Amino acid sequence: MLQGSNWGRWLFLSVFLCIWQIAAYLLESNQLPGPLAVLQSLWSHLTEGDLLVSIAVTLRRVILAFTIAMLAGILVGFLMGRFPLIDTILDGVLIMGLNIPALVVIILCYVWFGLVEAAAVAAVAINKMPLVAVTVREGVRAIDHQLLQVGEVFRVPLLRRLIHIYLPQLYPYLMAAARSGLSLIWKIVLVVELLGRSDGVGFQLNTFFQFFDITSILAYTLAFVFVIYSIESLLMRPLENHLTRWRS
Amino acid sequence: MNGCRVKIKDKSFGEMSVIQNLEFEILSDAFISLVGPSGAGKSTLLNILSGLDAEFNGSLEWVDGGPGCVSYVFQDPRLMPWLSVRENIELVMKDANDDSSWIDHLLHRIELNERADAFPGQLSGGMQRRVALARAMAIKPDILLLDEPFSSLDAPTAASLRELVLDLWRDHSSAVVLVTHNLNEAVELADQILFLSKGPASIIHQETLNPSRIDPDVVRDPDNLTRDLLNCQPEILSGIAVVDGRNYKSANKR
Repeated sequence: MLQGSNWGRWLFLSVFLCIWQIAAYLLESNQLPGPLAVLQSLWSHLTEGDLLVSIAVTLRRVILAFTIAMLAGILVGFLMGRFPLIDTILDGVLIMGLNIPALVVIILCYVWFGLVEAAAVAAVAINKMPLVAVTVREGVRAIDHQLLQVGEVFRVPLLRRLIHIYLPQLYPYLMAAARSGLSLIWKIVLVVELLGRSDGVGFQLNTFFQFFDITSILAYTLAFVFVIYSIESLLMRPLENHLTRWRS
Repeated sequence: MNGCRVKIKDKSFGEMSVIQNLEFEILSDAFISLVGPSGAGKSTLLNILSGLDAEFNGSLEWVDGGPGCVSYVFQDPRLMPWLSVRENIELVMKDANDDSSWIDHLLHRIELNERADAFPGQLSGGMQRRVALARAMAIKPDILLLDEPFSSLDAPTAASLRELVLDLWRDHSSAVVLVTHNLNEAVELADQILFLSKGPASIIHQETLNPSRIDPDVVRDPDNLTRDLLNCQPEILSGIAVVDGRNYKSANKR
């Protein structure tokens, strides 16, 4: 079954690449370079340009914003799920945070704090944090109180209770928040870089846009998608499999 | 532990009184069964004894000053599904590293020493109950609370678990408080049965099954006792399950 689904995936990818290459060949336009041209561009940016440096800079922002958003979101979500009073107080702010467009937050951060690194990272983190908080709040609400009673009756120390009774119940929610967070954050980081930074993938994309260099835009996009996909498949998925191994 | 005197004047949920004027003593090696119909407040009483519910009018008086060490086998096993059998037991222990031989002993007793690394989801319902029992015994409790631990098990599994409970009780000096709505179970296991009225719960009848503690010459046969109770005291048995034709192993449990 697994082999079948892999086979289907590769077939789809091959067909997609063929159609892309044929369309590019027929159109003969700079606006739609073929996959081979994109790969050549990717190779030249990799060997001669500053693709790796740009990716490293962007990745650093992604990791920083991701960490801040996750920590703050977990704390707020936990408190809101655990204490109804805090939930009532913060619910309105949370709904507002969920609905304010990412672009508005970015512009406001740049206007209020200047075009600095901290403002860029904060803008991304603020955009993502409400989503993490909502997911964790739902996780805390769904905690099985009967299992908590076990910790209470047997007087299990607080730290052990947290690690072995609370957290495992929150893992699915934390993983969902982390995975959706990663995919959302890197997109916002590119916008932040495009609007107010002088380095990173977003900044480079803006430069290519000035020159209508679609080939380089696609090459950079491909490279960064590959990096995020690698994080997802080499870190997130194995971590999730490890944490939920008891389900199998 | 020299025992605990339970005095509950009143336990209410809002307007509804669940327990009223309930008093009894748990001696250090007693096996007490609380029998009552569903909704008689039996689980509420265990929650009070375990310390889960402290909002009641009354007191738990520990003879030696206490509070004593109380452990609880819930109606459902309540094992952490993400922890292995051994980790579930280790979770409740003060220092699992120092007591690894004690855990080995318990795993051996519940005949799951070869499944110590299995997750609860990989075990049958009966096995999970055995792990819950081992977990409860792991802290060497003064009082072991059992909340209908044999319900929803098939007859042979329930019988072997009852056997295990008796074995563990014989070997370790814990008092046991078993809550059940099944008179057969109470008669088979306990040496003292307290009959609870339908809510608000209070003790309406007491029966000592193993009076040899008081008078060694008197040993009552559980079959006869069940029959006596059925014939003479039908009013206290209203709502309590009794299975006719059961064969009991022994009148003397210890």
